[in-house]
Amino acid sequence: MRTWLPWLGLVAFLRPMIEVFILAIGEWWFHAGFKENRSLFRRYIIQITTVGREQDRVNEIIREIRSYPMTMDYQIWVVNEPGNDDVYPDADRVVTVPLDFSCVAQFKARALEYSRLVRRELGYNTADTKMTFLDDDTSPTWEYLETAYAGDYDICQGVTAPRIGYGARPFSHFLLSHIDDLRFHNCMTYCSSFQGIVGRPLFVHGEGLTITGYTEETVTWDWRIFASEDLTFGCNAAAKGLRWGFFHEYIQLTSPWTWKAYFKQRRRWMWGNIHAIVNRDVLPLGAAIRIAIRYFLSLFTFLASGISIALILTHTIDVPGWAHSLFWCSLAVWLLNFALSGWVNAGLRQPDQSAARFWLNRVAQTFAAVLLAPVTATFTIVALITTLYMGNPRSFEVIAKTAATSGQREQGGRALLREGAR
Amino acid sequence: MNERGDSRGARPGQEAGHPREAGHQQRAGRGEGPATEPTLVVSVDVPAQRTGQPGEAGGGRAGSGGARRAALAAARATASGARGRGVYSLLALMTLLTAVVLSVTVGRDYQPLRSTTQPFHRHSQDPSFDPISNVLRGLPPNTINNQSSTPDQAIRAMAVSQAEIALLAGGRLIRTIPLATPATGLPELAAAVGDPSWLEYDGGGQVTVRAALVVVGGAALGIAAPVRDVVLESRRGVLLGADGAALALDGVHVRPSSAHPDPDWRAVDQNQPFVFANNDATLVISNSHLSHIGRDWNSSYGISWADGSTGSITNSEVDNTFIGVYTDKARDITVANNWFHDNTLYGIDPHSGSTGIVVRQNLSERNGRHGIIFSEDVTGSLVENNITRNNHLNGIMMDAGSTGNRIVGNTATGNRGDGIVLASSPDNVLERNIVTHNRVGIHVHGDGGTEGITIRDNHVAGNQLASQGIALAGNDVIDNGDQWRPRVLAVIWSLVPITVVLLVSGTAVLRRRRGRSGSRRTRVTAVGARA
Repeated sequence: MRTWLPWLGLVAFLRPMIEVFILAIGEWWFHAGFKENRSLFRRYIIQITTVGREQDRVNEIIREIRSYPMTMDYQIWVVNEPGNDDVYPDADRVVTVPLDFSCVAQFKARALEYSRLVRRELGYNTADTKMTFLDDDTSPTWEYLETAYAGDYDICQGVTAPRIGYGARPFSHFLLSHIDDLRFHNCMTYCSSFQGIVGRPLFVHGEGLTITGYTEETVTWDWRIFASEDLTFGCNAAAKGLRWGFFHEYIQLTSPWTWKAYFKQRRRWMWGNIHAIVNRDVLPLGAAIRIAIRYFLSLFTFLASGISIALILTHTIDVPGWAHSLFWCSLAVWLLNFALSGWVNAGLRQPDQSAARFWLNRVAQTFAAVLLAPVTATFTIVALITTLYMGNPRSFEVIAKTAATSGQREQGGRALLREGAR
Repeated sequence: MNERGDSRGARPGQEAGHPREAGHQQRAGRGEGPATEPTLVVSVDVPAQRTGQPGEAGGGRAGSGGARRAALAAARATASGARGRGVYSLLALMTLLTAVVLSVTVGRDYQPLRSTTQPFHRHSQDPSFDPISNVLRGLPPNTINNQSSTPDQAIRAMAVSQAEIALLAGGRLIRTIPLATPATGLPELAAAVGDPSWLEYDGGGQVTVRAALVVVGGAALGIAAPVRDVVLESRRGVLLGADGAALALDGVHVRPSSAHPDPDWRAVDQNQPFVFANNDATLVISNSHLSHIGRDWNSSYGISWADGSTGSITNSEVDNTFIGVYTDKARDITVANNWFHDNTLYGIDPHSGSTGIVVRQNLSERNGRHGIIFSEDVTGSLVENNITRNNHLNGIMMDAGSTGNRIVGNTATGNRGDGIVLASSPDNVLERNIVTHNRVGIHVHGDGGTEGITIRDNHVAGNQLASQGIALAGNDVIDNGDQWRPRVLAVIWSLVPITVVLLVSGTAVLRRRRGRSGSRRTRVTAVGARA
């Protein structure tokens, strides 16, 4: 046992090192190989899908997009659930999913499916229509929208960065922001490589997902799912031979504001993914295996590295000197990864923020990201196990997206969604 | 659709050419994946477009105006291109990271330290009376309690004093042989005893000793030519010793009458004879060969000096003993110009408060543990110009408070363990030693740390690890494990700029080619009409 244990530990320890090379290759691939051709597209739809509880935030996002010097014709659509007033004066279209609309998909996917049918009605199911999907907590940068529009791919997306309110008070949000450091890291590593190079995604995030009308028509949102509609769509698009692309621009989102919201969100992701993995009418086998391996690797890395440290410190196993050096390199790279996450995520400057305050905060958040790296890594696994224990929510539980709405009961939104689903 | 977003109240005709589906048909759930083309009819109310011109492709309100948009697009492309040049920094950074990783792995010598674990069961180190006292009392040499133990008739001793020879069996005096003049050699002694069952001289240079032969009471006995071969009978209690007297061996081969080939067997064999000087005795051995004697018991190890004894062993060969040379509270002993090899435990082992030991110009090799070890407060001694090589553990070791010693000009090479070890032994000087091809070159550990330790002008090379527990500044330290490999490092880092140039050039070419070729697709406008 002592002969193979060190090697297992070494593999776990080396993961950050391997990841940083994957990240670099993915990034290089974008810079060297990402294809843009604006002439292929003549219509751009930016769709914000919302339950309707974050109206102020949605309007803020719309205003933000309107302030960009966009270089193409575009429309902003808001897709919401009934029962909300139309308070999106700057939206080009507001699509309210009828109560009596029914399809195989549930919750958010149902709303997306309805909006797809609207687009088909409008003749927007063509390859010259590009659309970018946003949530009611996401702000794309101008560069993101421009690149997403120009990207010569059937489906593509950029990098998620929890930049909005990153590391801000209250303390729970500060911690949760840094726990989301791994989201950025995973996106930079695995989205860039699996979407950009391999063309078969490992992660797909609905925030900023950009597709053509043809892609949407081919794949549709109508899958037997209650969550993970982005992963399902992305994997099936790849399985149908559609071309995936990845670009390095930021889609900025908000980390949960409360622990309850965090677990609610992670539970939805976890069980949405499990549902997708175990059902062949949702995910193709290859994608299911890929994603299951990813979960296994996360758990393995955490457990194997933890156990290895204990065994090495107790001299139960001996590790060769070069492996020790590699471990230290890998540890340094791991911490650098977190520093990079902190640096990028703290890179959104508020209009009323002085330069000194911005840079001071950025440096502080970078240090915090490094210091909190063990907590972040541990808590991700804790969340994984906890959400498994909590069980399948079988619903799309939305969470509050701003500090202001985080205090309100989220149950209302959920009830509304369920009602909508009926 | 009205302006309030009610999807069921849309204004008709906003989207010409996209009639709504008539009727409303609810789709039933299904268990399989969706078909590429939906076949069920769904009622969809198309909400109105509230901005832009009806029928336009889009209603974007910002950036309208072809020239302005083109300028913006060009500006974005320029900015994107400039930002894209960051990939070159990334390539340089990753090349540096790769170089660092290669440097700390293949650019450094990581010979795994050999395990020095050698299972060997030592007998307990319970204090016992010295072996000579025991055999004179008729007790086995390893008797712990000589008051309560019963003498054994089989334990026999010849106590040689200046005036007589006393033959003892089981501690009882059997016979006294008066000597007109002090005996000077074994032939005379054998003649005086006159009983080959005790001591036999064959007239041809071989003497067989069949009982403990102990020089006592200030007498002096020399064993030299014409005796060349001293055979100590392999039986309990047989030893060659001096107790407060002088014993000299010169030009003789001392060996047991029979010796088991297995050293582990010999280590526990109570019939193993040995040589021992005790109680201010003087034991001088020169030009001799002592082999296959001794066992694992206090002062019975092979050749031992104890309790104030002194003397020397020079120009001799000692092999296959349990311990070649052992001292216990001895003083001023010179061990010089000898060859110690293949001994079961150590070659040279000054021990327990011995002082003034000079170990010089010996070759100690292939011993079961250490070549030379000073243990338990051995002080004021010198280890000089010895060669310790191919021992199964350390070459030279100072152990357990052995301080104030000088280890100078020795060569410790090819030992399975470490070259020179200072274990809980501060205040020693290591100077001008050559320490090569051992596990750890110089290893300092234990109590006292590095206090008072001087390590200078040593040549430490080719060891798996140059040192542990102490830095080797001021020494010649080269080509040891866990050291940088200058040549490999030079290759790695000289490749860095070349690699960066190649990667950057390749990427630039790819980026330019991508810029020229644009898209590989042609414009498509309808579902299914992709190129």
